[in-house]
Amino acid sequence: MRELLQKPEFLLLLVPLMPLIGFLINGFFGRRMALASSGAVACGSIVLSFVIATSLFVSLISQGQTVQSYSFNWMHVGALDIHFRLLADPLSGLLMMVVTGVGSLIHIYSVGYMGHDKAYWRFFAYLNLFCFAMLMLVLGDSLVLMFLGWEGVGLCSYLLIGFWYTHKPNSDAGKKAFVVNRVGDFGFMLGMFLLFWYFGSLNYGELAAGMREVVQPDSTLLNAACLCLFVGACGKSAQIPLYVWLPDAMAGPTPVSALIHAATMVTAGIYMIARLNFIWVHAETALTVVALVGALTAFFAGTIGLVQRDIKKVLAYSTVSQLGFMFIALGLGNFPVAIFHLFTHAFFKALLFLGSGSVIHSLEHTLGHGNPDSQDLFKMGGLKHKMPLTFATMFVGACGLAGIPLFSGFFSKDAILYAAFERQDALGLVVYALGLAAAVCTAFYSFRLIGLAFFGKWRGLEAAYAHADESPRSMGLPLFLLAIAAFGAGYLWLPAAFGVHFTPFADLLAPVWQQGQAFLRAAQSPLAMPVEHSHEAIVREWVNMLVSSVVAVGVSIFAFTIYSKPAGLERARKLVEGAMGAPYRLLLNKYYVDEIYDIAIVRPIQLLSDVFFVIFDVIFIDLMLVNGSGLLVDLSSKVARRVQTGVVRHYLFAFVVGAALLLVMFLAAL
Amino acid sequence: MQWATGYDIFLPVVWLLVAAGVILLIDLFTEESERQTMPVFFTALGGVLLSFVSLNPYWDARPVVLMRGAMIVDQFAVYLITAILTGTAISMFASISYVRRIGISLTDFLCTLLLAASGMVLLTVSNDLIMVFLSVELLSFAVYVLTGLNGRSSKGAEGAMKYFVMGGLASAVMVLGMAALYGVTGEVALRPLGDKLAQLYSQPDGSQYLATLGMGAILIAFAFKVGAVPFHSWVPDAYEGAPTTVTGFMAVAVKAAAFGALIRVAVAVFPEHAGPTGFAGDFGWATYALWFLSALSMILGNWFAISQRNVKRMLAYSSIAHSGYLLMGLASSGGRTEAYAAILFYLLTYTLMTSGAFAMLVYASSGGKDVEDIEDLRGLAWKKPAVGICLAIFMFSMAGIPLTGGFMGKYFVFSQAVYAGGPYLSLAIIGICTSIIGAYYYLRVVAVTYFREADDRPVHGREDWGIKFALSVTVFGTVALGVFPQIFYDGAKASVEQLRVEAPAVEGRNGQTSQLVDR
Repeated sequence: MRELLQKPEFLLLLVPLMPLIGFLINGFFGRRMALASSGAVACGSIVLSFVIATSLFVSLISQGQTVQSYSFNWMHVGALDIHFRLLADPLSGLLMMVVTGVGSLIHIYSVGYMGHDKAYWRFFAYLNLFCFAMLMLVLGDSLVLMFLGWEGVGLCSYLLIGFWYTHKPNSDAGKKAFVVNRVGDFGFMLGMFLLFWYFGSLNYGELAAGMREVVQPDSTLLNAACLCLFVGACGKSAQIPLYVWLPDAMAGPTPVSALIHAATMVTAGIYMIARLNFIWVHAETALTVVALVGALTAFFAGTIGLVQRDIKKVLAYSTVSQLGFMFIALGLGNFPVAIFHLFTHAFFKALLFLGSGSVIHSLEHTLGHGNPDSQDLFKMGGLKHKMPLTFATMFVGACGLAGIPLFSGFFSKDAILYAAFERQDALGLVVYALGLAAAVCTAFYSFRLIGLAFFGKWRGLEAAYAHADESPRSMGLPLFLLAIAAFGAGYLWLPAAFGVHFTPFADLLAPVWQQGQAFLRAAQSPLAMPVEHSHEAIVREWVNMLVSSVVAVGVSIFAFTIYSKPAGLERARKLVEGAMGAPYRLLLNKYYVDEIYDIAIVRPIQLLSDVFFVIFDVIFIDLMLVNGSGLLVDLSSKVARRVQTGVVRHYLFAFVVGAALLLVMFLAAL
Repeated sequence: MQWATGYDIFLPVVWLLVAAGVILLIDLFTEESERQTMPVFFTALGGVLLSFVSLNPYWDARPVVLMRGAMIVDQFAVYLITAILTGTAISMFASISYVRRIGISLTDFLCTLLLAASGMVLLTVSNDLIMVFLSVELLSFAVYVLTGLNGRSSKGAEGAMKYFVMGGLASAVMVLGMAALYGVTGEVALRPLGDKLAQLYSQPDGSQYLATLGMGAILIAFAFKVGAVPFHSWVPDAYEGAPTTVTGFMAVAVKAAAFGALIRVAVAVFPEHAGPTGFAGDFGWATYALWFLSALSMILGNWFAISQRNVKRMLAYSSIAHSGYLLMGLASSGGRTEAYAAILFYLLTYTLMTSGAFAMLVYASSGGKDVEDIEDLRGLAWKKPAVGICLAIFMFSMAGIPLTGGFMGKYFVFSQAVYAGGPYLSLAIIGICTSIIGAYYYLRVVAVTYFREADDRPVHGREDWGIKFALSVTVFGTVALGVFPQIFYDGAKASVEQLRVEAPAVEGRNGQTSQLVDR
């Protein structure tokens, strides 16, 4: 046993296994377990998983080694050989750390947050199951395993969005997430099939080897496959046109929003593209589409976020917008920057969600569970006196999100904008403009949120303010730790313009992009990442940094001065009621996208399926096929069973006749 | 203990017999009472476990032959013995409080069960005709007794009587066939017998007619044991009459042992090189017969099952249908390892899901009354949600719905038939059509447990830990076989490959050559 515990191939298996065990224990026995032990099992399992992951990461992966688990042959169907094996290279190892690390903090936070819930054990069972599925998605060494995890996290997301299923809007939101994701999953599957058809394998290593062997890649096919995969990524990572489920997903408990709908699951699409970067570099058209969709999403979601009243909705649209930023980076071929933003975003967005959860939790004491007023920014105000820790940490998170210089979001978002800036072609210009506009929105809604919630006068029910109080320590600790990470994560990759060469993040990931970049450089493609920074490039980077800093700080202060003072609020309201009324209503109703989908897609399908239901289901299948044939077989069976008379003499007769016939048959065949 | 080298292969049988003996002694010296339950049960369980553990040296070993070739222990036997012992243990767990409740003495039951199991274990290691016959008789007599063990039930007596009379006929046919083969070749050991027959068919001298009749008779007797149409008529009555846990045992273990022996006999005695009329590869006489047995069993088994309201009878017909699927594998095997492996895999899943389904009936029985009509199950899923899920999984597995062992079993067997092509393709088509029919009555059970209003009938299984254990094991196994089929399939394949190892090792496992080991 001791020996086994020193083997990385075994330890890696333990990483996803721990939360699975936690899920099984809570799932089967949780109902009968005490609250404390149920929470301890869930937190213990994921923390243990984090400890194992850390040991692997520090001792091996950060040294540039790749860890593979034991493998076993899972299924062998025709040409498809599915091996079950986990693989932790720098990329998946990093994601493993994020999932287990942020996951651990959010588990601990949930102990306090869900403390009053009756279905405490069920929540933790789902949360553990989610971590297991997410780790499978990240660590699996083939697209098949990724897809397995992909579906698993989708299931957990569905279960957790509709966690308070007795309230109909919640279960509706769960269903919406599930259905929209099915559309994406279909694309993902098509992409997988195309790749399998082309390469004959779905294992990353074999795909990469296959890509190396192909002399003249069929770029049409690869573009098609990549676009199909991107449809899947749009579903899971909430991009236009499939982003509509994510804002509704806020119906779930807030820790779920933090873990699943901000830090981990929604980044699966970005991970998938980065994972397959050696294929994507051959699909330039698809990459362009990715960059454009990402830029549009970043901008549109950002504008919607400007006017939302629900604290979680603001953050949800912000997540959609930030995911758009990551896709911009991917589309520009700058994969490591996308992963860098994914990394910093995981911290500051989880922090913001947990902070807003802390606010909601404290207001719900008085307002009652599920009261929408507890999430309405316009019914808050002045909370910084009541909840100093929540305020301080959320302030750090908002600075990170807004891209205030020297906070983590600044480094990663700036790197993305700079990448667009450097392209110096039409695409780069469009993307840069949209990205900068989105950054303006980001800074605005971040500090609008801070101003509305923590400054000014309390605007809600007096009793709620009187009883509002800092959350328990189990919730405070994760906030504090996340705040440190949200501030410091950006320093892992300093821009070249700083003159200090400190890029451990990029260095760690460098081997992941090697194959793709080698190809791009040989082809002298504009997609290739720059290796050296010329003097001009450094100047451009400074300019870019300056522009975005000024924008971020200026807009933040602007938003803050409006929303932190009653007078500013009053002025904003007048503006909205007057001149800005039409665009305000357009944004408040989210560009009417849900309504458009309803008219253009949902209702026609409903009508069509009603017609088909009557013609095919009721008349053809039910009446003719099922009931008709069923009745026929049933009747004939009732007649035929009379052969079984129950008289031994008849049985013996049948036996002898049968035997005689068979024997005669034998002899005849001889 | 030099002489004992190699002879520890008797241990699996010996432990079962020892346990049976100890149980009898316990019964002799103590009063029949509730307090007897635990010692008796754990003695029996200990026998089964020790029997399983004593197989340990043979998991990776090469085949060992002894008693002048009368017995052989290879991985094929080990695989089957594992399935048989699993089935036995599950019916023991399911029976702990059930048998006493319906008025049977637990000691009688367990003792007979162990004797039957020992007969089955012997059958799987039999390597000549005499051993085959003796083991078949040992297990058959024990099972006749088990069927009629409940003296208070007239149905039980009727079923046992019919089974016995019919079984007598089948035994007679089997002996007749064996005598014919011996008369023609002068051999009883399977492999030399096969060699002689091959010679005979290549240079026919007229005696090949008798040999063919002999092989046909043996085939018929085995078809009776596995309950294939038209030799199935005892099945519904015996299954319905027997105590439910015995029915599960009959459906599972007897079938596994009989199929194992049939495969062993087929591979050795009906050799591929028997020419155009041989067993495998070509559409010879034996495959011709197997084709009919399989097709009839699938069609009639499923067809008759539909109109059954009695769940036990329905499962009886379903077991006939499953025999049909297994026979399809045998018919289309063409001597291919993969096909035999598919059959073994199917047997393993069949063991788990069927014993699980019968354990479920025990769970749902109430007081001294068995589940008879399907309506007795109504609303069960709402009374006990976990149990409802278990039942659904067993039924899904039997119907062959993906992610269950039943699906993978069907997939393996059907794909072998498709691979063989020709007439076997039609067999696979019949199999697919009939399994769609089968889904109707399996899913009806699920529908009744979920969509019908529950009554307030108490359910027996609530306080019975044995039945809960049996259910957990079988459900877990059924799902594991469906999700991770490759492990079990590869195991089956490895064990089948040993069937053809030409000269079985004469060395004891310690490396010393045993004087008593002989071919």
